[in-house]
Amino acid sequence: MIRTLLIASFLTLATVLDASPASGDAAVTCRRAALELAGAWANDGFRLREHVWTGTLPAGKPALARVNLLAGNRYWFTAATNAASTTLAVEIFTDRGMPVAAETHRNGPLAAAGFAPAESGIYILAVSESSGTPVPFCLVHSYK
Amino acid sequence: MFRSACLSALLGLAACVSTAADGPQPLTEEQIRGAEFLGGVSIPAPGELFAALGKIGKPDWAAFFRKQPPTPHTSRPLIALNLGTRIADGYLAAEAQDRQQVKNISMEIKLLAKSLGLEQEFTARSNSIADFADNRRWDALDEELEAVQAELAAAMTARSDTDLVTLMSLGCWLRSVDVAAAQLAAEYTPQGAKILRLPAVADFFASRLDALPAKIKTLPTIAEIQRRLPALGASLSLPSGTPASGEAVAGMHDLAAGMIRLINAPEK
Repeated sequence: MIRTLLIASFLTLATVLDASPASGDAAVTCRRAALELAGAWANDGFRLREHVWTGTLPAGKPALARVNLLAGNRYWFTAATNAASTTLAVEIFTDRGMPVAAETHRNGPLAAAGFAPAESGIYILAVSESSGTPVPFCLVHSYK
Repeated sequence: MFRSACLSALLGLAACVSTAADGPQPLTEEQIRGAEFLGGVSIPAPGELFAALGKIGKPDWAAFFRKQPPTPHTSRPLIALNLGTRIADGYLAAEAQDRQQVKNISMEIKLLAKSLGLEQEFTARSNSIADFADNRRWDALDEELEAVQAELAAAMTARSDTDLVTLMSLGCWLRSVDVAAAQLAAEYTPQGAKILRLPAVADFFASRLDALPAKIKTLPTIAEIQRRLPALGASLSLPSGTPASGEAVAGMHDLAAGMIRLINAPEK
């Protein structure tokens, strides 16, 4: 309950604030926003991985990455963009491309997906956005 | 103010929570083939592997501690491999919640980093590692160790030593598999064996090794690891839902431990 409220608070805050940077490095802005939201999972005992996935989402298509996830762990994948007018989504698929039942959160430029795999192996992460134009993004992930 | 904050939170929640019921369409074959393998993001950290194993029993992580190799290496590629194995040992010491061992490993990492001319990059981290160990902040220590690896990798890249980044990551991954397989072999359960399934990681490292310059690839240790990697990769890639047998896990451990011995062996 506390975690849910924290997440909701972060996401509400993101809606209120203009996430577009006045200037500067978009990747840094996206990373900072993703890390702020991921802080909610850290409060719940999730350890944040150092490595991040950054890039530009292609217009009208998801960015896709393969990750090795381990049975027994729980994961949160948290993404952010600096394009405030878009809605970001994070989705998780099996290695055969079938969607998995994940807990998802979306609000404008912030999105997250939580998942506890029953089987270790390769899963595919998809990050997409609603505006149909290329936008920068950053994804961080946590586990416990 | 508090009521307003709660209201905002609830409104935010209503706006943002969705379920898998209205979920996405399956990916196309082209999308599946096009999904990138991202190295650091795609490969589980040692702490991630140990955390999963820790949930199905009470592993005696301290049983897998090892002593520093007696003869220090002078070849930079071998030092980088060793550095990676020592970083994995740091995760192991954190998992065992052994303060002194964490500090010992930190000192060994510092010496290896110094051999590569990267001592300065590690000094500040070394202090925080000791602080986290003293304050028993084991979760934070895991994150710090990954930050150490990332910082050393960034420094290597800045000095055009990207080959060493590959070798450090490989050493870290091999040692984490060595420890995980040793634990599973010692206390085998099918449930535990299901955890140690890491398809594509060995292939990733094999292709990275293949791309190394000939002068590194032909070092006997590197060449032998490259020769043995496919067998380890195959043992970690059994079909989903088919846990490795006790015998297969023991074989997996033999392979990983053999490669760690090669890395630690005196230079020829």
